[in-house]
Amino acid sequence: MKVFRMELKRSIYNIGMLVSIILGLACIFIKQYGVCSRIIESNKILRRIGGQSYTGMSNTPFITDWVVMMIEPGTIYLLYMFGLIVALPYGISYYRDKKIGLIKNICTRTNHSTYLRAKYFATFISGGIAIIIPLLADLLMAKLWSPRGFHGNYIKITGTVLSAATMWGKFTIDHYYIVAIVYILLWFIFGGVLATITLVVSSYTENVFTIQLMPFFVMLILFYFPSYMIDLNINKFLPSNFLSNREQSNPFYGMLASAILMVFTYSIYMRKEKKMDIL
Amino acid sequence: MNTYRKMKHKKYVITIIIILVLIIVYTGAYINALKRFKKPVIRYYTSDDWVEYGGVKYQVSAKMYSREELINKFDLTEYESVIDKNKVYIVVDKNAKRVAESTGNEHDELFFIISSKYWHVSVEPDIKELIQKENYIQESELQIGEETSGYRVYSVNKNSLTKKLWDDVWNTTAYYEMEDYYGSEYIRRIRVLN
Repeated sequence: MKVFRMELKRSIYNIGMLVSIILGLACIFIKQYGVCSRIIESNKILRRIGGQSYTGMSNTPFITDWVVMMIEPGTIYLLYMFGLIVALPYGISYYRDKKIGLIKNICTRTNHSTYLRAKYFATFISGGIAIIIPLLADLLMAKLWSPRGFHGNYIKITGTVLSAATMWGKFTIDHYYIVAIVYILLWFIFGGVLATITLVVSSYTENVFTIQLMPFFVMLILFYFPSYMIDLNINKFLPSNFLSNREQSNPFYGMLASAILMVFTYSIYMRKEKKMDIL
Repeated sequence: MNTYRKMKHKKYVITIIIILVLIIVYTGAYINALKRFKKPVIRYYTSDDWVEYGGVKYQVSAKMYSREELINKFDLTEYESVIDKNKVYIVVDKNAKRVAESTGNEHDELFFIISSKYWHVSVEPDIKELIQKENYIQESELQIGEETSGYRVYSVNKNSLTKKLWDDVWNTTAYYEMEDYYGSEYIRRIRVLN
């Protein structure tokens, strides 16, 4: 437990976490800037033709302005930078610990397996935290666009991205606060699992860039993969589908994909590193 | 050690100050947003009521048609190919009479839509033109005391609803909403279906 606490503290209080948060918030800033500049441009045209300007605020539920629901340039940047944001806080820590000999120091005081497990879960948690901070910031800003989310005895969905085409879509319309929590949890879990790919890579290579950038390249492949394999019915398991709430999306496929990836990374990492002679 | 403790203490204080500033700024922005965006006043009516807006009184009723019913009712046999079989069509019959001078360009700012909880509703301007009543005049062109009657056509697509919601579409309650397009301060809901 002491080792885990130490690893967790190291994973959260470091410059990588700060850079990740700044990167994530920059993507959110680009998204909000795009929204605001569109409204300003529209209002300029409206004033020129004698129409009344509008604020862009609405009676639709706040989650329709959230990055998970809304496809904007900032959303695309956040999804592209996803792999980088989760890997920056603690991705190269295991490689660094091996290189400077810190691992020998720790493993003389504790079990090697305990240390590996602590490293794995600290990387998972730091990756998850790094990606949900911009998500939560955008959620708070989305609430500003729709401060009075609904009126009457039901919300208006015409003119929004919400759709009752699936059971999940219907649930989103009925309980959008619960859906927001589910998506925050999903991004945390998937982000954390993606960060653990760095641990697997650091078991096989000593190239810092390869270790740090592997989650970024994995996400790029998963984004472009569907366009070459459209006949296979696996799109629902790909992050471009389950990380955002499209018409046919369902976050539970994302949870399943994250669980499979977690089992994969944990087993390879633990099996490979347990055999390693560190002293 | 004392210097280390002082540094740590400073870090905590700076972190707390930053968090407090963020909370205060966000709260201020939220209160500003609530003040600028007033809670809309919603009033409910039935198809028998005359609802006034901008000097014009409206009486609205509606009926839902399947593709075949729409074609038979309005004699659209030669336009069969453009009428989608995966939709239900809602034909709104709107009677309007001007009772006072208009105070501005209200009709440009008024937004009419059929709404129900899960429906994504599309406007069907082409079908509206095909079935429009001969003596229909735009509400903005009415003189005081003058009356008109016209149709508006909306549709709900089967692909935008689950099977259960689609099976229940004929029993779903729907309202004809009249909403200020820019301000959304007033919403008038006329119950037109079920």
